[in-house]
Amino acid sequence: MSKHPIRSKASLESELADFAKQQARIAQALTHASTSPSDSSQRTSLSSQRNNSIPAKNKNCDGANKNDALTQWMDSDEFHRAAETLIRKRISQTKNLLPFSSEILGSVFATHFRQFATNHHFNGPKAILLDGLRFSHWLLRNARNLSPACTDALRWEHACCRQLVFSYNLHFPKFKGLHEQVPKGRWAFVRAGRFIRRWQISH
Amino acid sequence: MSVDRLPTLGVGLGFREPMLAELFAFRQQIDFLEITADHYMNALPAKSAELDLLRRNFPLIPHGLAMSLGSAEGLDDRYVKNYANLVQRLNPPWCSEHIAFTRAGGIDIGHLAPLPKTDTSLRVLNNNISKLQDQLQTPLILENITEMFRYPDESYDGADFLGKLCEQNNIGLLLDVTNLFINAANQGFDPVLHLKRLPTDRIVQLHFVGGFVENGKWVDSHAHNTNAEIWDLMREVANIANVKGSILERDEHIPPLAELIPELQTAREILAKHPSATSKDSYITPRG
Repeated sequence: MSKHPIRSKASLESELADFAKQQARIAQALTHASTSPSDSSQRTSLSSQRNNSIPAKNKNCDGANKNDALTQWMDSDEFHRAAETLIRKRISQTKNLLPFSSEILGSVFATHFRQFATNHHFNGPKAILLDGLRFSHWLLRNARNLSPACTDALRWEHACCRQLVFSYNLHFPKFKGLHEQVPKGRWAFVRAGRFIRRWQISH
Repeated sequence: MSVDRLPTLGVGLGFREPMLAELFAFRQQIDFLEITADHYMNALPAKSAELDLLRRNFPLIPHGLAMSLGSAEGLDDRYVKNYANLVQRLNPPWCSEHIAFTRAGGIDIGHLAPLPKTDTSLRVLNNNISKLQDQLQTPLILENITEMFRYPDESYDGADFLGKLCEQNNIGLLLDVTNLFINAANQGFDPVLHLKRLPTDRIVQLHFVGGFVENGKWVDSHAHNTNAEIWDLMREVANIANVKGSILERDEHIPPLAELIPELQTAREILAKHPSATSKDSYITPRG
């Protein structure tokens, strides 16, 4: 016995194509909403939204195309929670990749990440690693008033992420790690194949 | 799939790297480990060595995250091949994935997104599961997820959908008790009634962990101790299903393992109450 009622092949294919489009729009809406700058304030004050003027069901979702009929039905409240879940998950995964930096930065880490995420979407098979790699680089370039210890940690962890992304083996000659006190002025080296990266320990 | 033929593994942990340092100190209290398959596909030598170390000391169950079995655009052949290679390498009694989609229109969502409970979803899942099973020699079980949002005009409710899916594909169920509880609390249905309508003879494994309430809604954080409500639901599961293994899933705020071991013991006591529950089989970890 067939698993499904008999339908024409064309009808099934059309249904499948519509389903694929719907999924693509949901994926786009979710990833966009979780990284949209206009949503950041909404996300951080989700509770106040609910108390005051939470959008009613069936209103279009922020972050989705306003004219997109396929996302019209999504409950805005649920949608924001889903988007918030996505960004929290990215932050958590990136913290795992940048443990020293996240420890030094504390709660500012998440704030910076939300800012970073507005222009850096999660995508691709190595998305988690790329988040770690790009965010550490972004912080080094853009974050102000980073402590010397934090700068060292970011450089170190950036190199570690690079290693994971490009799957090469690193050698750390006589380098004990940033959690230990390293005398000021010492140089750290990371050799990756024929490339050597180095930086001076600044604390 | 004959669930009765599967070995009883006991109660274990979802392995996360920070646990490694303490793991062997609690070897006697941890019956088996569930590893995240994605972390060991095409792994670097250090990661591969870690897998070998775990494999020599614990029965391992590979648990995939990004297969995206619900994707209408089909499976990623390379991912399927890597997953199948890992499963073949470990030779576990079963392997697991999620009933969800994580990829669509060239976008990787980075999270498990729910599927509408319709015939179209079933058709997509059936096709993808069939393709995956062609590459596997190991029984497949699928996990219910936390539904971040719901679809309108669904043809089935959650229990009927899972029942049809298991029956049509001859697969087992990895029942995430926490996800069931959270969906029930957030969507306003009775988890016990829902549970009784599931194909309980197909429940092979459980997941459990705590959640928390934020703005009146439960959040599946994988970061808290198991709540009393979730233990209660697990007791209901133990009354009606002969579970082969249970995994505590902590992903964040992982405490010293000494704090997690009592949770494993509680789960062990709960599951031992099933009428046909047997003691942990002497499942031999495959070596190679």
